[in-house]
Amino acid sequence: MKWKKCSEITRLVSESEERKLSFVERMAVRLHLFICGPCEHYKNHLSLLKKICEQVKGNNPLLEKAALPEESRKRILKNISSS
Amino acid sequence: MAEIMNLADTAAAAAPAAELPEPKPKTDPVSWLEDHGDALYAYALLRVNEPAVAEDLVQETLITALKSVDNFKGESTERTWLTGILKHKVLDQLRKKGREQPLGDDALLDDQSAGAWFDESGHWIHKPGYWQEPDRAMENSQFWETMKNCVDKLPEKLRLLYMLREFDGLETDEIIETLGISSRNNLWVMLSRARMNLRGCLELNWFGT
Repeated sequence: MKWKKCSEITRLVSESEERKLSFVERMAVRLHLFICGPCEHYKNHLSLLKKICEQVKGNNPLLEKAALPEESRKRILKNISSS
Repeated sequence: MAEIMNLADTAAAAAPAAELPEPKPKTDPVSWLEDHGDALYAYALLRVNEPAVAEDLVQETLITALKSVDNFKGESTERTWLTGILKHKVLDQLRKKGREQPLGDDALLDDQSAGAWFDESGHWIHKPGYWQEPDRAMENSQFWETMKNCVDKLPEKLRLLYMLREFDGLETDEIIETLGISSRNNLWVMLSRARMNLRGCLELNWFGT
């Protein structure tokens, strides 16, 4: 089995969040992470990103701040009452 | 409106004193706009990127909400309910745009910035380091400012597919179908790139090893 490069491993680590890796892929990742500190850090960082995004789920003022202008509010209400 | 109020009065009069009915959710778009207008607008704007379109989506959401208010039995909050309606409309809008202007993933996949992370032999150029107490960061409001800036820094198309996946929880096939991406593999490569960029930005601007 050919050793995979960090660029390939990081892509597999990311993809494992969307699909199930094959047995060979999982083994390749596991072996690589065993000996590669930076990639192990990377994997932990992606886990943290996932936790961060869990907090943001749905409608969250942490990341979504914008003000609906007064003019727009008036227009919207006008359009609603005429619909 | 008047009809709904009369029903509520009648119901209250008919119920025994010990069992007052649950207060009906406000069916007043003015209140909805006041309580949720900014949040709904922000949600839409983040995903469609055009203020006028975002406003229309908020308007359509309130109209739909008015029509289906009887379906809202208070199982979730008003905010959650309205956001749910808005989410469908945002996806419809994105889908429409995806048909007219498919994402054009080839350009994104050729993106030269991919080479910023690894050298020709596939090794790290800047090695990720250890992040100190990462969970604590989330308790800090300045961290969220940094996070927001890092998300904003993502190339527009990568940002959109990242948000649909991570904030809205859409699955692979839903994202592909909505945005007009040519293959699952292309989506996965782009998500990987988005995560790579975001992680790098956070390390540079917050966790700074």
